Amino acid sequence: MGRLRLWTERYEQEWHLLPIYGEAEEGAEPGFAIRGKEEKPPSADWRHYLLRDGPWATPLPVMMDRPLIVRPDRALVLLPGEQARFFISLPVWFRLLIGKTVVPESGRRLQEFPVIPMANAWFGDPVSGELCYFIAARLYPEFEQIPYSSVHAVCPLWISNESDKDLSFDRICLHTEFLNIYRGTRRFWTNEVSVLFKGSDQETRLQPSKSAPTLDGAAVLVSGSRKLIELWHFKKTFDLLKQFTGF
Amino acid sequence: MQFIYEWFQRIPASVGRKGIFIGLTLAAGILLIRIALSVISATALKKASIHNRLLVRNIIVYIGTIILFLIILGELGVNLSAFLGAAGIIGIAIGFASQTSVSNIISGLFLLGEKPFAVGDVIKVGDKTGIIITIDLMSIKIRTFDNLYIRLPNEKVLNTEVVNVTRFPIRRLDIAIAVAYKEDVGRVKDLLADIARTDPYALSEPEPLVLIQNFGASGIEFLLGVWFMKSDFVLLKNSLLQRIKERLDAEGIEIPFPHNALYTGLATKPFPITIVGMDQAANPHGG
Repeated sequence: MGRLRLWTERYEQEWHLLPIYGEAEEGAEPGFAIRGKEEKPPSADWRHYLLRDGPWATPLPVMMDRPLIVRPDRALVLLPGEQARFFISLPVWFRLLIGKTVVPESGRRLQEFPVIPMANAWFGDPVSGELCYFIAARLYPEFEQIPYSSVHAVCPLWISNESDKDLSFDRICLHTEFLNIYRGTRRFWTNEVSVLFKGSDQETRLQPSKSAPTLDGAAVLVSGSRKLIELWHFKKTFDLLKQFTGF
Repeated sequence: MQFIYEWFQRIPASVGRKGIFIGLTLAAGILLIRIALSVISATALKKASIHNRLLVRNIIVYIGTIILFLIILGELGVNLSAFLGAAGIIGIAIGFASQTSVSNIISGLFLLGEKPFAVGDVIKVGDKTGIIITIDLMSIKIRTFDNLYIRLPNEKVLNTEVVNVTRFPIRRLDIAIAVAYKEDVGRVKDLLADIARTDPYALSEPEPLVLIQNFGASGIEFLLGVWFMKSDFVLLKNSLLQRIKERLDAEGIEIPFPHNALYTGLATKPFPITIVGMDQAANPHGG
């Protein structure tokens, strides 16, 4: 799965797991593949789970467990009264469910793994900010431009500047805890997120949609959000590196 | 046995009754204090911090003990108004004699009000570093990382610079590194930034800081500042220092040790060295 190679072993009353992250292969399509029996790698990092029942393991794509800081490929300025829509490709996590059948609903969560190793990052000021993950990503104006990946979900993001000031940003904190994952015809999708900016000193108003995006036939809910989606969430979303003096 | 029995027989009945009453009062008083502590802990202090919980518990215990003491004195026939009067005079005398204790208590009250730290924080006071176990009116107690128990009087804590190491969720580790003057400064900057960026315990944001700090006596001095979660301090320090050394070695970048160069007046020319005996070896017949 992506850069993650997950070794699993089933014993009577036990599941053994070993996640190993490799280097990204040049030109290789990031995807999902199941391999047959191979010699088990010796490692001290094997995790052993005691489970009386549960012969089936089902991987389920889920969103990461913390917000994600996205550093766009360029710094952007949104003029007052303007609105913009972007698409961001987000790496998903895989939740391994163990159950009596392959139906995900019947499974119990064993463990969750990111498909690529994710760097920790801090968003906001050093006193009251929050711990997030970090990726450098491109903001695509059209989703067709996004390279295909079976281990990424596309997030449609609307940004509206409702203040009387320019909105300058080179960091976006995406609150992935409010994102569902849907299956489209070719890709995974998340629900659409609208971010309303009211002024530089205020938190943004965040409105994650409760339904699937009307794109690419994304209609089948694969996994729900980690936190309950409410009508409005007030969160800090934008940042400029220069605001953080660093010294 | 006979002796003990006779001794009990000689005790007057009134004294016996008083003894039993005092015993019962003590037991009931201790029980009441304990019940009061349990009830308040389970209700009013349920969501309070450990710091506040300890403070309220101490106040209840102190007040309860004083009331119990006064009840017992009253039962023993001590005139309480005279006793309290005498206690006032004695208190003044004791107050003069125990200025340090009073100062500690007042400092403790200031510390409780100011809240520069809480139970569980890691603090540095002078040369002592440890985790706070309790904050009392007279002193704070810390446990050092090598598992020593240290009592720090509140007066000292109030008058000394206290560093609260774990107050904020993230911190920056500053590492001073020097490289030889011959090295490419831009390349070293890029390398250090890359080492910090790829460290598993470093935060990607805020970005690591690489600063050319000084032209030192032995080399060019850099400062590498790497942000991390406060709980990852040991892991990051070990990882980062090891990776810096390994990477600089692998890239052939010299980490200089303190040294002095001697010049004969011309900085660009080497010190002239004559090897004794070379002339004779080249021309053994001297002609």
